[in-house]
Amino acid sequence: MRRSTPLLAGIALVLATTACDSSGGDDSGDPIQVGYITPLTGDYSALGTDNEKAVEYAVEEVNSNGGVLGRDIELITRDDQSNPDQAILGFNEIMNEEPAAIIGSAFSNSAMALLEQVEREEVPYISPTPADEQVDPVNDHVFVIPAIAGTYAERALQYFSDEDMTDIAVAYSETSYGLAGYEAMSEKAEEYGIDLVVEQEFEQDSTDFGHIISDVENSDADAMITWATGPPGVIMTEQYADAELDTPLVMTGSQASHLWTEPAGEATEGVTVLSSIGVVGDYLPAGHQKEVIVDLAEGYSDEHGEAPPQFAQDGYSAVQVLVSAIEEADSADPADIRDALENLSVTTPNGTFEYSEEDHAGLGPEAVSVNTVQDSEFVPTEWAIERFDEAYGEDGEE
Amino acid sequence: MRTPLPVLVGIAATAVIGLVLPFVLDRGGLALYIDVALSACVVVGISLLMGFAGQVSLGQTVFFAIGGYTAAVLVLNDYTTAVPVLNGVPPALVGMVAAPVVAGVIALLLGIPLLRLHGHHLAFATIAMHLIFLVVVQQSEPLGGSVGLMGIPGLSVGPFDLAGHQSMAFVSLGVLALVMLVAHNVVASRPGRALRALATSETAAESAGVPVGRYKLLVFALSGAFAGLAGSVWAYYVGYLSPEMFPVSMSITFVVMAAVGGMGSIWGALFGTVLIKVVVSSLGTLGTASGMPDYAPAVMSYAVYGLVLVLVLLFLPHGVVPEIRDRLLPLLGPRRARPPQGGGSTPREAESGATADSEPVTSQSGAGVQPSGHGAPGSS
Repeated sequence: MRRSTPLLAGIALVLATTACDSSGGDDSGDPIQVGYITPLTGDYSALGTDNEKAVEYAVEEVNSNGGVLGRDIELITRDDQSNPDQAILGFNEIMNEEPAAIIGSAFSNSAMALLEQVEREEVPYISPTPADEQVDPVNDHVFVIPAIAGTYAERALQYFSDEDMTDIAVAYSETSYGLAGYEAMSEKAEEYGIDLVVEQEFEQDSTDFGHIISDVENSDADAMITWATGPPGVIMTEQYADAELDTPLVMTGSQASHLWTEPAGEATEGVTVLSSIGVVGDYLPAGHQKEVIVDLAEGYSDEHGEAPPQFAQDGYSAVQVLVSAIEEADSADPADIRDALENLSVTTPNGTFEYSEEDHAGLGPEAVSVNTVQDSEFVPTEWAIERFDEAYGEDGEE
Repeated sequence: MRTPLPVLVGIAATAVIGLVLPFVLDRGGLALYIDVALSACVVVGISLLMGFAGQVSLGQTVFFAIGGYTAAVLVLNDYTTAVPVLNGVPPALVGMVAAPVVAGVIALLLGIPLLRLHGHHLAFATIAMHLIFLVVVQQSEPLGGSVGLMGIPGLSVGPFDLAGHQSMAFVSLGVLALVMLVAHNVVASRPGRALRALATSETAAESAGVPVGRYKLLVFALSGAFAGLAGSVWAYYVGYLSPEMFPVSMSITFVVMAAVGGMGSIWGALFGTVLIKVVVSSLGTLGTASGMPDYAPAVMSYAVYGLVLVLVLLFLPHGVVPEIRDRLLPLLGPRRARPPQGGGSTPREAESGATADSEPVTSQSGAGVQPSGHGAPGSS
């Protein structure tokens, strides 16, 4: 009988250890499952495939460097076919696998359709689309990667104000992006001493902007800013160039890629375009931010033969943010990852994210550059270079 | 008039499968199940409209969307407290009742001018209706504009929370069963027989005293109500509505489902929907499987899907269900029931030897874009 005591204790010990093992089962060597929904077909497939290349590139990079918490990341990819319904079906399929988190669709309406689902399921959702509604009001589990329209609007106002452009014309499409951009501008214009002298809305499938352009011509606007995504951005640029106005044209982040410069061609010359700093990384002062951008640019070009477009940077940054959150949480549990995201500070090609309880957008105006197009390339304005030095220069950063 | 045994067995088997699936499916499967059941409600309406009333509609998604928006707006603004009669009635339930009513009435009103058109012209007019609807929603502040309506609460009735995937699957199944039952009764009724005559030849039916215009309008309104009911459940399930969720391609897909399953067949509508949804979903999964090349999703969802459609329509031109029935039934039963000779049957119907089971003889007269139905092979 006396001998049985250590035996029992032994058994208890073994049981306790195995119990620990099984409760923390996801800490084993199994890969961490991450859901990924993206438009690979349909109207937004150009965005979705760029985004996918970068997400896969980022995941491979993480895995080849030993993974996160010693575990590989495994993507469960679903095509939303540029249709919110399909995004919801894909989301539910992914939830079968109990993923640690989900990287969402680059198509904003899919993202909006998923908001409700994500909140019900309480799974962290990293969104590579800049719809302001995702973070205003804050959704507990939704974290946005690209600078949102409101952030672009603030940067544009700072630029106009510093350059003494006080009378501004605004045209905006009836999309979530267009409306958010316009609303943010009209809300804060006064604060920057700016007067919106023309305010024109247009439909997403508009092909004639003559009336808007003539309004601008007949006003004394110092600049004309257009909030648009997709085809209207291109058509507006072409028609604006044909009208040969003296008023400079300003476009926003949606135009900061080859998807705009290529179709609009010559008409883009001299246009002012706001972009993520990642697009003009070469012009940044040496420092950590520049290193991060250049690393992605070089690695991505080696693999895909082209520089990473904006949507690729968003995809890459999404993975980077998620991986940092998992490391920070020291856990692949959805709830832990969510909490870690809210206290995260990480530098990605899109800028330095600092999420908080009230702010799930994470990026400030300093993550946006103001450029002009020269020979189809985006070149930061002097004003932007000065801002870089303040924010990312050796003195500024440290 | 008696339903043959094999058909009864088939119906029973389908019902049992429908009831068991929600218990065995996983999350993704349940989402697909709900999508299939609700889409089938719309497709049953289209099948009635095209197969029986001989009218083509490429705008049924509009009524699906109207149902969704009706339910969503009612629930989000909770009108039950404002209307004394509705006090205490769960708002979600009010939405589910109002949705088919509103969609049906709008279909009725739209149908008055639209159904004066025939064939291609009607098809174009319904597409135009769809496009106009999308623009109206995009401009409408109370409907959320192009940004969409967010935060639609999940379905709950009193103390019962039905928002879960499994309970939503049963709600969808119930809605589908209701729609199929109503459709079946319409088809089996005296107006139903008149409708079949209408599909075969509008002129003949009219000269036999069938109030053609009124019947067509009623079927259009009914198909709108079916779609509206399904739309309300979908709105509760997804919790978000925006115009981008209702593209014109969705209306076309509904018609494709009806054509693949078999025009004018209620069961064909169900099987057509299941087939197309399952094929699209598995091709999507296959296209994004790890190790597939970059172009796989596009190839799968366009080329392979297209090829499947072409093959089905080439080799089963009357749709899957009518083809199977026509091939199997003669083997199982020595003779098919004859139509009742007097009573409600129209001269044209008797003439063409329409069978009296719940499936019609559809267009031989070729009403424009209407796919040719099966010509009751075997009967005189």
